[in-house]
Amino acid sequence: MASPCEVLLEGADGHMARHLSGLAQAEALRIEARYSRYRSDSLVAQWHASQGQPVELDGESARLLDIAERCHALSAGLFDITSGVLRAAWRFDGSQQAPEPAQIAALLPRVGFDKLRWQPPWLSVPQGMEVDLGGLAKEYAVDRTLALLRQACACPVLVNFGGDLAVSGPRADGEPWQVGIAAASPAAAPGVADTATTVLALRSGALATSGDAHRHFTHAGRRYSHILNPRTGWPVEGAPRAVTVAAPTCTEAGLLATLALLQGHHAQAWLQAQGATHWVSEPVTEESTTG
Amino acid sequence: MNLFRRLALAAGACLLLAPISGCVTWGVQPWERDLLAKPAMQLSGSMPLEGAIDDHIYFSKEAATGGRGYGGGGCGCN
Amino acid sequence: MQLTSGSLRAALGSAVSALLVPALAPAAAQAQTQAGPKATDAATSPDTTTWQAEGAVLLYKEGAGRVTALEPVVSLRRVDGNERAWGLKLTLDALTGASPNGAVAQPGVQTFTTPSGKSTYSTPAGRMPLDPTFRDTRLALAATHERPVGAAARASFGLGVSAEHDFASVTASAALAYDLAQKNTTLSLGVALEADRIQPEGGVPQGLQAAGPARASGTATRQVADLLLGVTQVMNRRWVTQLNLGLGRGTGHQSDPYKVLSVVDGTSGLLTGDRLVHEQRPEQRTRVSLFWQNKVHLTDDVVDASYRYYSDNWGVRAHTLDLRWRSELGSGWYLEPRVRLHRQSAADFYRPWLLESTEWDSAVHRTALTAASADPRLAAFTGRTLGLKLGLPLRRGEFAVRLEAYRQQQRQPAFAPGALRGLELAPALTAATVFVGYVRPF
Repeated sequence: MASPCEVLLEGADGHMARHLSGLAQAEALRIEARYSRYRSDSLVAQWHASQGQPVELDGESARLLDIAERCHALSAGLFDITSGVLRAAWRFDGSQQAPEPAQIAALLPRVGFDKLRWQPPWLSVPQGMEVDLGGLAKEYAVDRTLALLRQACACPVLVNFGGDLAVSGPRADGEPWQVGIAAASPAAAPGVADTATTVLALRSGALATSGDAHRHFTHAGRRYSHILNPRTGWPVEGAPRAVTVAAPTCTEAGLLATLALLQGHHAQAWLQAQGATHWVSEPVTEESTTG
Repeated sequence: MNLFRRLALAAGACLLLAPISGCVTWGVQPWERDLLAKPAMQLSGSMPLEGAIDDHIYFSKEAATGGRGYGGGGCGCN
Repeated sequence: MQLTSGSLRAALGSAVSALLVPALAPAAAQAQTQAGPKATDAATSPDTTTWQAEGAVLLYKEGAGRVTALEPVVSLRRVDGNERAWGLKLTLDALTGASPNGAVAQPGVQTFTTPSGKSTYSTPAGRMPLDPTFRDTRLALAATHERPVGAAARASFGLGVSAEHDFASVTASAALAYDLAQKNTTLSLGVALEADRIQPEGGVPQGLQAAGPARASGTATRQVADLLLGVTQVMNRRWVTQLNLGLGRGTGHQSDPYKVLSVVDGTSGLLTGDRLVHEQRPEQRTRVSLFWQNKVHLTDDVVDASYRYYSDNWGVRAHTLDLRWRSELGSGWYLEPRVRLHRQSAADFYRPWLLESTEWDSAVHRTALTAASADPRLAAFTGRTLGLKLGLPLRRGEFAVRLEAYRQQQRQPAFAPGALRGLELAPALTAATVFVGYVRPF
């Protein structure tokens, strides 16, 4: 998951706590093993190695592809799990180097969900294209882990994988869980702790945060997030630094947050139009430019 | 009284300036606030009304007032 | 977006449900009925608003037939998902009993006229005169609002009104708290303004005039402005400390319209000449207070230790020490003993009586003094409080009962003339209080 993962339980004894944390760890590792793009033995790596031949997906992978397709349609093509290949052109380490237009032009033909052939349960990934489930997997893992823990124990539980979290319900005495959302301050350098925190009371549902935190790119005085526009090959401009959304499930919250960031300047307005409970940090006030 | 007051002010100044000057590092990380979050550890107590009522009793029986803050609404009792 | 807002969220919600259904599988039916509309209604957002209701009753009873007070208070507070809070507090204060009128004890019976002039009351020989017609009901309403300002600050505002039959008050306050160093240090600045209107029974007497039927006017006003500067510092995981500097300035009518001073003969100590004179306090009061509070969490218990130093331009200097030890008994029960020590010096113009010819000239009904008051609150005394509070856990919230005993001991005035030497001129004030409080979040 590449981030600290924790489970908070209330009222469980040591034995149950160990059992539940074991379940959580097992589920997180299981999802990572299947869908991590960094692992050569993952399912995703197998799809890439199929050289365009149809691969039969299991039920869970099929459902993940289904929701990726749905979001691709709902976002008019902005949400695209095939945009991962554009990583080769962009180094999101705060550097000033913009890639050559030719570099982007060479990569764009390899991007586009429509180019995949998805006919459940068969998936064909053309040679050179990649499927990246990073924008879904962590939040999905939170929801699955929470469901498993609820089956194992009736105690109030909060599952938090690197800031994407979900709760089973209010705490034992009916109290909400107190969750702090850290807002990045403009002067914060990577590694320096944030100074501002909003604390909210969560009784049910989930929170997910999508943001550029330390992965951003500065060019010509403008700061771009690490969310790439699959149609232009450039990062989305004008998006807020971080967006936190509350929703009944972590997957829904995460998708809303990502879809919001894809709106760039209109992120906050979009979230308001959706009626989503959200917190935005450092909305960008600079003028946008075309292209 | 004068010495007392000077000492109290000096102690207060040290407390105020030390963290800013960086010579002493006090404070906790956000994940170390478990005890501080308890109602019993709030400066106004787990029952804020208790403090307000106390302040009112002593306001009407003694000449000295103030300290924690100021309540809403005076009374004619002093 | 091609779809309308509601339909996009609904589409997203149902897509996510389809994704998660197998995960929810056996618990799906249970979770969906428990979560009810939440799992399928994508437009519902998690509930992040919290409420807190608090109620308390104070029963206060002084010894020797003095003041008895009953004070119920209720407050309600609401905090929404954006950390904005609204609060409302209602206070009822019912007072009865007898209160010192400022006159000094005498070897014989004394008779006084009530401030309204409608009746009289007597004080037995050798006893401190108390006005038994002291009766009042006060109603106060206060509203507060807090909201975050920017990323690291919080503003709070308050508005309050208070009314009793002879006194009305309006207060307004505003404060800003600024967080630094990951909220380990908080700097705060606050301002409070108060405007009072005094409409005493029998009108507002002219200070330092012989007590009689003639009155100057029916109403008087008083204004108070307070400034508070504070710093709160988290020292470590178990210790938080706060230091507050308070500055206050009161202008307008500061005197108590119901209090008098006795004019006594310098040799015999008996009432003489004009006998009773209205008190007069300076029209301006400037005060400074330094308050230091610490809360320390031991293994299970919490200790609260605070000290306040107070000084004003009336000459009052006070030290107050307050210690509480909250001892956890297990299962949420706790016992909290409390000790409070207060020591103050007298106001410059405090006089237990006025000596004829030196401090008051009955022939011309005048005095060289600019201010004089015999109000025991302005005398030098030590106040000791001993209390015990018991807390009970509830499924939601907390219930507590507190018993306290307060004793205010003044030193017998020195150089009491004549007959006064043998009398108890400064009897100790004792009071017992019962406090019952209830806090419930929901």
